[in-house]
Amino acid sequence: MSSNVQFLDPRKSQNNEIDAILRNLMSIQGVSAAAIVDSDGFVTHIHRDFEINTDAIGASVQVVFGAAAKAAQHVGHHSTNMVICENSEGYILSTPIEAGFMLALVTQREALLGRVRFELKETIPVLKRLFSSYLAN
Amino acid sequence: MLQNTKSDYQIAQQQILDGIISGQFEIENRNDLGPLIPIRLFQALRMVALGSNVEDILGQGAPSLVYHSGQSLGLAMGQIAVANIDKDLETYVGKIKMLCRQLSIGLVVPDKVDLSAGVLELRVDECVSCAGIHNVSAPICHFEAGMVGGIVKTFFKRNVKATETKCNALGDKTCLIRVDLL
Repeated sequence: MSSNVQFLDPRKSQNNEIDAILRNLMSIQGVSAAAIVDSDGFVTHIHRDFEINTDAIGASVQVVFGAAAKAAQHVGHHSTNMVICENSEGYILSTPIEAGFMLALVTQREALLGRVRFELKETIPVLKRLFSSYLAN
Repeated sequence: MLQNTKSDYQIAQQQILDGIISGQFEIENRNDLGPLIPIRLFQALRMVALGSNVEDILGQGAPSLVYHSGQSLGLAMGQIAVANIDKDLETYVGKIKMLCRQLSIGLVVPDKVDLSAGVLELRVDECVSCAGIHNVSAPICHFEAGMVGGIVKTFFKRNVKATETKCNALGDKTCLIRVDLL
């Protein structure tokens, strides 16, 4: 029996489209990192202004999103579209893309949350289409 | 007074990994029962405590946590194996195979090594996590995938992505882990 694991080769998929999307997100005021995280918590693509332990942040993003989505289910909210962590130095926003992949944004405190959230919501359908086509091939 | 910043789990982790690194497999306070446990107890810890129970709380975040845990073990094992080998991959793999056998993790067999393409594939026969488990719908040995990733990462000092592409619990007779050097 063959595996049904969905494998996205990070090197082959480091293409202009994803890079351009992340670069565009980085241009929003206060955004300091934009990353794509796979279902195992591995950071496949990242643009950032500062050093990040990518292994740790990737796993944490998946764990936090998973825990929040489970909490939502417990109160009858069946679908989680975004998780926002508000921290003393800024925000971490994470949003599901496709097949367990997530988009995570890190911002500084001065970021306008509404603006970042709006841009994230605009970006996700584009990423969903991109990933659907990658994973289908 | 100095404040201890390590949690109790971190203290226990340090002692366990130190024990593995030193090759010390005898355990104090286990005079009658000895250092070995039934595989089903390990599987209960792995698939229940660190599997379905974690999944109940973390949902889709569970595999990330398990992968990350396995990677920590792999990094510790890599530290043992990388000492005094003069960066020789064959010697490194030999030491890893022996260590995995000693720890009863499984029988590790390199299936494909293509360094020019940056790809390694390692089989884990008789995998401790999924032996005797059937009828799953996707590979379940995220711990072993993370472990192999950590082992390869230690040798090459590069980021890697390890993915389990075959799993005994899927009916594949072995667990195959593909590692991409990034």
